Amino acid sequence: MASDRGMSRRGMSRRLRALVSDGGIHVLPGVYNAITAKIAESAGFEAVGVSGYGVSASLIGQPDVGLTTCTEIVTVSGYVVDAVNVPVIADADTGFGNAINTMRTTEQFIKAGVAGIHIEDQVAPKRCGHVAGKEIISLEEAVGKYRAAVKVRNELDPDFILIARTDARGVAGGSVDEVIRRANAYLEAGVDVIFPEGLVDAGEIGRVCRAVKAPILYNRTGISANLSLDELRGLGITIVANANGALRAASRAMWDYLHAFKREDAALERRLKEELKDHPVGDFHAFVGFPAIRQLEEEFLPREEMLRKYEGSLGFKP
Amino acid sequence: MHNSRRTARFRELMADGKLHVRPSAFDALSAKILERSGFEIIGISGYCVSVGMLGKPDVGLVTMSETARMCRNICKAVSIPVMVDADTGYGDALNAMRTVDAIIEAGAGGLFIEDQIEPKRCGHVQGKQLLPFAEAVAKIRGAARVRDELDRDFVLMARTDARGAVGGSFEEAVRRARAYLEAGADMIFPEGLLSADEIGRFVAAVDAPINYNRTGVSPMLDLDDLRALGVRFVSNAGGAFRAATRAAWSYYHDLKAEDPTKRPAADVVDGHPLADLDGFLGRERLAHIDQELHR
Repeated sequence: MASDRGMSRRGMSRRLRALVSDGGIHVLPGVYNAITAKIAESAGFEAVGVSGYGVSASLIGQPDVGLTTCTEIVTVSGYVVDAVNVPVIADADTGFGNAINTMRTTEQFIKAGVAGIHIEDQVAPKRCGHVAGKEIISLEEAVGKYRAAVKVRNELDPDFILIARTDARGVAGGSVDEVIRRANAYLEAGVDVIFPEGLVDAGEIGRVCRAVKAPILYNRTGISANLSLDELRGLGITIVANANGALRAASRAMWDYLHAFKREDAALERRLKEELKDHPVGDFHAFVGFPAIRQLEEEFLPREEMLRKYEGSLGFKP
Repeated sequence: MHNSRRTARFRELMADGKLHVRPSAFDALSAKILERSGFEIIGISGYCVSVGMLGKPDVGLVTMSETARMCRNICKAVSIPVMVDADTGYGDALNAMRTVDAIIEAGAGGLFIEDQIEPKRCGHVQGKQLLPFAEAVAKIRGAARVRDELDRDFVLMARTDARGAVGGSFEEAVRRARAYLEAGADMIFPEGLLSADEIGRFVAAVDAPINYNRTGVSPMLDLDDLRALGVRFVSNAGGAFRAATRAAWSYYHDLKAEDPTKRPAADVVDGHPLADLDGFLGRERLAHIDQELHR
């Protein structure tokens, strides 16, 4: 709701642009719905990233093999944008098609209020990784795609951040040299940030950071080395993405809770209520914002109706 | 499972005389985890969808289209019956008819419609107001008509908030429940009963399967007690969602407090049943299908 927002959407892309050029290192936590974004914001993160993997898992219950549509990711990203007051970066997959599709995709994300997106140079739609392995499009096609996205950015919101993700390291015959060659070509096409996916160690990260004159996003997961923030800062990284940690933690927590609940039922609920009464989310109704709605009602609903609504009604008092 | 078999399955559960625990999902992932945890029927919690998807409290901000879309994604992700929280039906009797149509189309096993005025709010939060009796009955009648046209096995549950709403009472809840059954409801959900005594009296006075929600103002009774009282379905709308929320809270706060000199612990916890999340989501199965199609 508009009343939650302290700034214009345009302001968010400007804020993200300032963030990636302030010389610091920033951790970008992955989120997959509005509530995870709100919690990440409350923990103090300056930006959040909508994870394609997370949305595929949460929204449709499927692995991240390119089944979710542009519409679905834009919709979820829009909910996230409306729920927080920090810049939102979204995973725009391959741009969901060719350069022309990518133009529409970029426009939709900008209109949803997202502050930046990453677009990767894999073949669209991605095939299931286990079967074909990753494949990337030709350099010429990729550059065309980024040029197309840049054109839309320049027309609609010049502050909007375009992140080019290259999967050139992980494909058959891939190399760090190819990553560097592509990254520089994508920068030439006008993108703002480079996301070299799948670098395996500090040596590779250092080489890319030295050879590519732009902010670099590092995805600290999977086959990529698990390095400390000080190490990554030393290597020249600007953004560190931790895309799916919350999704995995939440999934495990649900599994554990449900199996315990199946065994213990009411006894578990009574125990949790006691144990969690001082937890930050223990008072759940307050945590999710009923009191803020009550305030808005006081401000905007007829006085008579307010009296009628609450007089003699049972339950949590917001 | 084809949708009509799912509604038939829901009817079987209704008719088996047993007490069923029905925890709620709020997205496709939670639905899959609920199913794999051994529950035979699940719900979709309007409260949790509102908080999870929108980041807003449950005060009637989620639209019918959003609920139907979520319902479709959840029903595609599991094969057990899904009972959908359809709030007030999202409008008057005519709107409720369109809602029932959309939710049946989305693959649900059943839904419930409550008798609060719009916009509604969580059944355990103050500020609830009741729809006039005749309006509420008309709404259930309209919903039942769509059920009868599209899928007679689809379960229509009428929820009454009369116990906790402004001007409501236990007696009013019973009077409304009986009228909703007359109008075609299959099951009754008396929200906000205050004690075991009220539950027992309600079950005795209303001749239909009863759903009970152990939260807020309603006591956390053991299953044996609820069985003895004659309750047939027990909802647990928020348990999984709260567990997920607490875990996300801990994860993000730990990540923010990360020691810059140390390498963080891996996200994946070996040995946990969900350590291989991709496997749980079915990546191997999709890869296999893909391979078959390309042979």
